[in-house]
Amino acid sequence: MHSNKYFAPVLWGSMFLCAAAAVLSLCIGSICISPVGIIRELAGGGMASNIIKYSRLPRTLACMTAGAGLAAAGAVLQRVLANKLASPSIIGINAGAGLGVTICCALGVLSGWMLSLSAFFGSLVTVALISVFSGRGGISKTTVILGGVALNSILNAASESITVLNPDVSIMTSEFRIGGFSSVSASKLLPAAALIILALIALFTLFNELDILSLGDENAHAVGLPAKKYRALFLCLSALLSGAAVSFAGLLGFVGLIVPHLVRRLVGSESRHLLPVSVFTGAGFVTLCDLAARTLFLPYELPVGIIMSIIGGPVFIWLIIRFKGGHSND
Amino acid sequence: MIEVCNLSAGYGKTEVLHNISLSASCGEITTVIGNNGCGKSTLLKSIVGLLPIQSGKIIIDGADTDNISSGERARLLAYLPQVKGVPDICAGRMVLHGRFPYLSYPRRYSRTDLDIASSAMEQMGISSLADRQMSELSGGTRQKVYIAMALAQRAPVVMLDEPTVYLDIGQRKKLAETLRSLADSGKTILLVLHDILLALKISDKIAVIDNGGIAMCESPGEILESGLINRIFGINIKSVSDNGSIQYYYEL
Repeated sequence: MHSNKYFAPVLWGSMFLCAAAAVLSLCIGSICISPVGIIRELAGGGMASNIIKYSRLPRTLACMTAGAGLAAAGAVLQRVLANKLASPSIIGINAGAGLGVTICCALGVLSGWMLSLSAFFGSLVTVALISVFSGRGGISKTTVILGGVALNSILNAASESITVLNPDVSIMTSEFRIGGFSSVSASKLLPAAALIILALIALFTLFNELDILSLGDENAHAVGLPAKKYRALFLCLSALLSGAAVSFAGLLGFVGLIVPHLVRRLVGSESRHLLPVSVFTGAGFVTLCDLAARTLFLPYELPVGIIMSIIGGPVFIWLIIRFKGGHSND
Repeated sequence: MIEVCNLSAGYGKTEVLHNISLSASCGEITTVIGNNGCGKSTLLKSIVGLLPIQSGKIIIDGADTDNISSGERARLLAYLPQVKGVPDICAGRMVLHGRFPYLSYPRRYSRTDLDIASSAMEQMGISSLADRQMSELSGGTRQKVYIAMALAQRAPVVMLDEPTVYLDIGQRKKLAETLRSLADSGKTILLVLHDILLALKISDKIAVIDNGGIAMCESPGEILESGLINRIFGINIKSVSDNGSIQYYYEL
């Protein structure tokens, strides 16, 4: 009954994409090592093993974690706000996290946990502002998005002001503002990865609640789901996911918007299908973009945010044109 | 059974319903009628807990709604709202979510839930549409999916706000038969209908709301005899006996 025949192959495909991207990211770089060579190096502890252990492995894990977190956050926001334009980068959640990190840097606090938590609180405050805005009667979901766009601009302006007034912060956050993984370290990654994994586990037990919420408040209430409470919970989880990802990956745009869009075309909107495939696709997409960013112009490296926008922008426009046969209520 | 005792409710500081008392019994179809904006949907929303009540008490099957959780209430009371969107979901999954009040760990619907949802879809004649997206369905078919979702709740009390909207005349007749069989099986059915003739035909009891209060709550025959409907709606409803069955009509 009501199965999606494409779900299983697409899920396997996204898992394969994710695994292949991870292997390529570990193998390719300033020196290329075969997959077998990687295992041999890690076991043997040669010169290349340090590159793998201290550079490529944390970086690959960071790409996968950030991609998974941002794609899941986008999928949740689009479902909760019933608007396909919603994504952490568009409605200001990423900008809130960015402001949190900028304030943290300005105060000279640079520990991994503090960066993750400040990014989380920055995005949480943004989500709270959006919730207050969306909770007011008579405001449409589109207005919420427009309000989020305005909030995004205000928060970015606040971050910019701090960096202009405090040039040290500007140096510390320059890569952060474009988004990239070149300076990622285990101490920054681990706390954020722990938060993302916890949020994903919570989300994966709440598929039905997320779908019921998308049926509208009255229908959710009719089947016993307290809509306001769960909407707040899902917004907090998306803030946690994107805040944690932003804390080490910087302000990466597009992942949270484009990946759920693409995946929805393949497996539909139901959360039990959309979320797992988005997580793997997001992880694979960011890892491949990072691989392109650090290998296309060797020995130079582009910030992954630039590559992502160069690839993501046209792909997104293609998606809109290719699948424009939506419905008036979309 | 639903008992509404001295209920006052409305939106914000505006009181729409003043000190209303009403009871809907098991095994009966009770229909609420009244002019547009008189507070019919407000009454149902207050009973289901969508609107905070300003004073009074609501008791569903012996349970005071102030003292039960949202899940317990959904197991006692199925509710079809008047205004419904076009959700991005397939019809079968939508109906299955009617079983949400019974969902427990590991947060997956059981075989029983799937069977009950299938049976509700069969009851509404939409079994073949399980895999179709709601956005691909006509307004009438979507309405049937929503009703099937409410039926899948298997609650002893069923409240439907304008269930006949978008349904053609044949589907209205089928829905009336379904509601009668639900009432005969012992369920309490509370409806809001704009179709007065259908209300007169299928209801055991009709509650007429006027000026924020219950103007009358009696059997269809008594309501018609009182002339209240004619006065409130400004029409002239007549009845004829056709082979022992009473048919209603009004002159335009």
